[in-house]
Amino acid sequence: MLGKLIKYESRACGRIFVPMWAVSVGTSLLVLVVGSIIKAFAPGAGGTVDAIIDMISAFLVIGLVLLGVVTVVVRFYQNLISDEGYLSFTLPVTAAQHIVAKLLTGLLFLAGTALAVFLSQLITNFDGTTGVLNGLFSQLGRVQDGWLFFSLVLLFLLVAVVDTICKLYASMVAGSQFGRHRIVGSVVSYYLAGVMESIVMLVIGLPVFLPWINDLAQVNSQLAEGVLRPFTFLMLGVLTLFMALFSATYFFVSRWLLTKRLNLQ
Amino acid sequence: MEMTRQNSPVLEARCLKKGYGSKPALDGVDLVLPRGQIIGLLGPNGSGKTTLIKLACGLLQPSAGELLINGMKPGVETKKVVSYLPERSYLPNWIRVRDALDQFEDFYSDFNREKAMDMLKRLRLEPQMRISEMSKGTREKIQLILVMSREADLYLLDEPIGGVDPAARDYILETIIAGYREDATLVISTHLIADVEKILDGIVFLKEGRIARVSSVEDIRENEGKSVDTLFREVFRC
Repeated sequence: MLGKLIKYESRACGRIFVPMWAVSVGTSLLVLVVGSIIKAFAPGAGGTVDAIIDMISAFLVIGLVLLGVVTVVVRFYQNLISDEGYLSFTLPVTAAQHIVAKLLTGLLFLAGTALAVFLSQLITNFDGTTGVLNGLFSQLGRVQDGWLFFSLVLLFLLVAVVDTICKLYASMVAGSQFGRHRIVGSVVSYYLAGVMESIVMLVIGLPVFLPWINDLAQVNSQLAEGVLRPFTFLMLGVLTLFMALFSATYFFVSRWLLTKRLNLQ
Repeated sequence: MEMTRQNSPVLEARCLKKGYGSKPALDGVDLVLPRGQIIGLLGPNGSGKTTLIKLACGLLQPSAGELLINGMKPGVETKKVVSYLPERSYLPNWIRVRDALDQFEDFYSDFNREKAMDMLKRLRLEPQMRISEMSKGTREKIQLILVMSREADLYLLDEPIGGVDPAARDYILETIIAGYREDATLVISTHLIADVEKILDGIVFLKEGRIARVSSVEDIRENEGKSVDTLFREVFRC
C-alpha cells in the first residue's frame, strides 16, 4: 500500500514540480541566449549583462527552493488535513504510511529541484559553477578523510531536510487541533518545536561537547591545513543524530495526532 | 452456539460517547445494525448523525464506549469493508474521473470498475472529465458512483442527495438500491426523509446525541399508521 500511496503522491507532486523545473531550465537557457546576443552586439556591456544574469540566476534558485518547500507543505495539508483527508483516511492504510509516503515523495522531488537548480546554474554560469566544484573536489582530495567528511556533510544535510519536513508536518497536524485557528496554531506549533530543539541542544548537547565546539567552528582552517580533527567528525555525527531524533519525535507526534486526534475541517 | 457471519451485526455501538470540548455530540449510544438492510439515520442538525458515521469510518475516536464493525474496532481492516460517502467533495479538483476510478481500484480490492463504468454511462458522464469542470451536483454523483461501486459490507452515506436537484434524487436512490449487495447494510443520513422513505427498511432517530427511536419502517406504517416523515415531525417538533 505504501508503494501505491507514493505512486499517487508522485503524480500529484509531478504536475507541480516538473513544469517548475522546466521553467527554471528554460529561463536559464533564454537568459543565456539573450545575454550572448547582447554581448555580441554591445561588447562593452558584458559586465552589466553578467551581473543581470547572476541576479536572475539567484532569483531562480530562491524561487525554486521556496516553491519546492511550499509545495511539500501544501500537499500534506491538502491531502491529509483538509477535505481530501476524508478520502485519504478512509483508504485502508495507516497514518504512518501516509506520513512516510509524503516524506519520501517530498524528498524525491526536492532532490529533483536541487538537480534543476544545479542545471540552471550550469547553463547560466558554466565556468563559475564547474570552477566551484573543481575547487571543492580538489581540496577534498588534499584533505585526509576529506571524502568521508564530505559524505557526512551530505548525510547531515539530508537529515536536516528530513527534520525540517517532519517538523512542518507535525506543526500542521498540531495546528489542525485549533479548529478555525489552524494556521495560527500551525505557526505557533512550528515556533514552539524550534524552541524545543534549541533547549534540547543547549541542555544536552552543549555541556558535553563544549570543549570541542571550536573544532567544528574552525573547520575551514582545518580544511586549509589538510587535517580534520576527530572531534569535527564526532560533532557532525552527533548533530546528525540529534536531527534524526527530532525527526523521529515529530513523526511519532504526527502519527499519534492523525490516528487519535484527527480533526478534519 | 457460535454466531454466524450472517447473524452477527455489521455495526455495534455500546455506550458510545463523543464530545467536542465540553459539548457532547454523542451521549451513550447503544445501537446494533443487522446485515442486509437499508437504514435511515435521521435527526435534526447537531443530533450526532455525522459524528456517528465518522466514528464508524475511523475518522474520529470515541471519548468513551465502543464501536465495532464486523466485530473489529475501526482501523485498516474495517476500512476494507466500509464504503463511505462524506457530505463534502473529497476528490482533488485537478484529477479526471478515470484517475479516481484507478485510485479506488488500486486501494479497494472490492471495487467493481465495470459497475462504475456502467453507472457513469447511464448518467452520461465521461471518464475523461475533470472534477474541476463539474458542478457540485455532478461531483456528488461521481463520488456516489465510486462509493456504490464497491462490494462493501457497510455503506455509510452522509447526505447523499442533499446537493442534487429533486429530479436527480430518484435516479440516485435507484443507483443506491441497484448498487449494493443483498447482504450488505446501507446507512443513509439525510434531512430529506420524504425522498428516501420509500427505500428504507428501518430507521434510527438521533436526538441530542442519544438514540430516540429504532424501528422498522413496516412497524411504523402498520402499527402507527404513519409515514416516517410524519413520525419524524412529531418526534422532533420544536
